[in-house]
Amino acid sequence: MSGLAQLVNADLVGALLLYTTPILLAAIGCVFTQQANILNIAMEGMMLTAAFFAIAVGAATQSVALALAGAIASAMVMSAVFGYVVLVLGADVFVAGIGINLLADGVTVFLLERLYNNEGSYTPTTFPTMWQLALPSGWANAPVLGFLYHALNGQTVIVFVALLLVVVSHIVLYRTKIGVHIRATGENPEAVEAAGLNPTWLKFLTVMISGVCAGLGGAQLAMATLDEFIREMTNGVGFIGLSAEIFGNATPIGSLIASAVFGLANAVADRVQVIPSLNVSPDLVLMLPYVVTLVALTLAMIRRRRARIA
Amino acid sequence: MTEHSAPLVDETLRGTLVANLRSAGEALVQPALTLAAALVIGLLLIVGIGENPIPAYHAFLFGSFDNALDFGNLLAKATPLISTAICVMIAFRGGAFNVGGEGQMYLGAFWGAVIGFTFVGLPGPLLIVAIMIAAGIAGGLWAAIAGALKAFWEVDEVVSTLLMNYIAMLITQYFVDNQFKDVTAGGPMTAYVARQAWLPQMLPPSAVTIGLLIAIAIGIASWFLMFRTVWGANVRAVGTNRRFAQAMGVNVRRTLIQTMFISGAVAGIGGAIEVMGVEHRFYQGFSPGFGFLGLTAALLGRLNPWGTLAMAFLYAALLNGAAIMQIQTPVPNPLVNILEGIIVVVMTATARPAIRGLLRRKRAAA
Repeated sequence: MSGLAQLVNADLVGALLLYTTPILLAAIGCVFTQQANILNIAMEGMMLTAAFFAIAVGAATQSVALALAGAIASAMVMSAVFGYVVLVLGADVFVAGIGINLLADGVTVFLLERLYNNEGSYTPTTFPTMWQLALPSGWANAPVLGFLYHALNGQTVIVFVALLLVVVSHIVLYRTKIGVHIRATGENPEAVEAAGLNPTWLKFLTVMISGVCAGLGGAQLAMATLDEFIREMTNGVGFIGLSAEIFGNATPIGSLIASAVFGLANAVADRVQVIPSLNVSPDLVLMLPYVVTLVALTLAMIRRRRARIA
Repeated sequence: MTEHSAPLVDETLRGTLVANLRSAGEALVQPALTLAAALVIGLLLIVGIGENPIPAYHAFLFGSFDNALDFGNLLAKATPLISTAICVMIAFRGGAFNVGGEGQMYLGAFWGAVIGFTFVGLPGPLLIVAIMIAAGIAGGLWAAIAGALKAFWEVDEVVSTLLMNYIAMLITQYFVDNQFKDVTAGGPMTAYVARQAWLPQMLPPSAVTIGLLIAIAIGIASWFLMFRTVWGANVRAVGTNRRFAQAMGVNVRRTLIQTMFISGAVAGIGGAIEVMGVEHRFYQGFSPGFGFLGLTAALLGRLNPWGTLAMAFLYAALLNGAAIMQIQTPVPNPLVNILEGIIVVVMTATARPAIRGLLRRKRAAA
C-alpha cells in the first residue's frame, strides 16, 4: 500500500503532463490530417526536426522565442515537403511519410556531426530557460495548493498551449466553415470540388497545421527538462501520437483522453522503476497502451463492419 | 511492369527465367534514376559544406570494393537487409503493406536465441535448423496476427504492424530484463547460443558469414514461391485484385494470412541469422532499423524478387561506403541517411505509373 501511495501523488500528475504533452500535440496534428483522410506517418520526423532546431537555434541566439520559432518553422518545412510530394507529385502517403522520417533522422544527425562534432547528442553549455509556470514556493507544503504546486510548477507554457489547442481544434473542426470543409475533404473530396473548393489545398492546409503541432511537440521534447538534443530523441512519440489519434477516433477530445492514457503509462513506467516494493515491470506498463490501441482499433473496425451489414 | 500473370502452361522454365531477368533489368532503370538524383544532391551537399566531393564519393561508392575486409563487411550488411526486403516484397505482392519487419525480426531473433542456448546438446546443423524454424514461426505468427486482423475486420495493416513493432520490442525487452537476462552480461541480452550454432565466417576477418548464403537462398526461394507455384499465383492475384481473386475461387482471407505468415517468417529468420552470425546472442537494440531499411530496398527493387535482392546489396554498399567515407574524409557518415530519406521521399513520386498503379490497386483492394 505504501508503494502505491509513493506512486499515485502529485508528482505522478506532473510526470503525466510532461509525457502527455508531446503525444497530445502529435495526436492533434494527426487529427487534422486524418480528417482530410491522410495518415500522418511523417509526424515522427517532423517532431525530430523541430527538436533539433529548437536546441540549435536556442543555443545560437539564446532566445526562447527564436528557439520556438525555429522549431515550428523547421517542422513546417518538413510538412511542406511531405504535403508537396504526396499531394502534388502523387507519392504514396506511407512511403513518403517513412521517407520524411528517414530524412529527418539523416538531416539532424548530419548537422549534429557537422556543427557540433558529435554523432550522438548536443548539449549547449548555456541555454535560455523555457517559459514555464512558476508558482509561489510557499504553496509547496500547503494542503491543496501543495498538490497543484508539485503537479504544475515548472511545467512549460507548451503544456498549457497543448491543452488549449484541444479546445481550439474542436471548435475549428466542428464549429467553423473551414472545419466543415476539412472534414468534407476527407469524406467526399468530389463534393468539395463540386462546391467550388480545392480539396488539394485543404489537405495541404491540414498537413501544414500538423507541422505547427509537430513543431510545438518537438520543442517540448527538447526544451521541457533537458535542453539538449539526442539522436532519435523522439523515440516513437510521433507514432504514439498517431496511435492516440486513431485510438481517439480522430477527434480532439478523444485524442486528449488517448494521449493521457499513453502519457500515464509512460509516467507510471518511469516511476515504478524507483519503487521496488511495487514489483511491476516498466516494460509491461509501457506495452499496455499499444495493446489497448490495437484492440480498440479492431473493435472500432468490427463495429463499423456490423453497422454496414445491418 | 514486372507483373506476371499466372505462369502459362506452354512457357518453358528457361524462357520464363529469361523473361523474368529481363523484367528485373527493366526494374533497375527507374531506381537507378532515383539513386542518381539522390547522389547528385549528396554531391551538392558535400560541396555546400565546403569539402572536396571527389575523394568523398570515391570512398563512398568504391571504398567497399578496395579490399576483402571492406567487401566482406558490405556482404555482412547485406545479409539482414535481404531478409527484411524479401519480407516486404512478399507481403506487398499479396496486397499487404507489412511495415512490421522490425518487430517480426526482433521476435525471430529472440526465440531463435532461446532455442540456441537451451538445446545445447544438438549437433550444429540440426541446432541451426531448429533455431531458424523457431525464429520463422515466431516472426510468422506475429505477422499473421496483423494479417488476420486485416482479413477479417479490415484493420489497416500499416497501423497494426507499426503498433506491433513496439509491442514486440517491449516483449523482448521484458524478457531480457527478467527471466532470460544473462546476469553475467552488462546489458539487456540473453546468454550465448551454443558454439556449434555460430555461423562460420566466409571472409575472415570481415563479419560476413554463411548466413549470407542462407539469406540469398531464401530470396531465390521467394521468387520460386511467388512466381512458380500455384500458391504464389494466388497470392499475387489477391494482391492485384481481391474481388477478382475471390471470384476465381481463391480463399482471400486464408491467402492473406498465409502471405503475412511467410513474410514475417522471412524477417524472423533474418533475425536468427543475425543472432547466429554476429553477436551469437540476442541483445536488445541489435537492429539499427533493418525493417525500414529493407522496406527501402524492396521498393527500390520495385517489389521484384531479383530487383529486391540486387537493391539489398546496393543498399548495403551505400551503408558500408558511407562508413568508409567517414573514416577516410571529413564528410560525415550520416550523409547516407539523408540520401536514403531523399530516395524514399521521392521514390513513389517519380516512379512511372506502373508502381503507383500497384500501390493504388493495393489501396483499392483494401
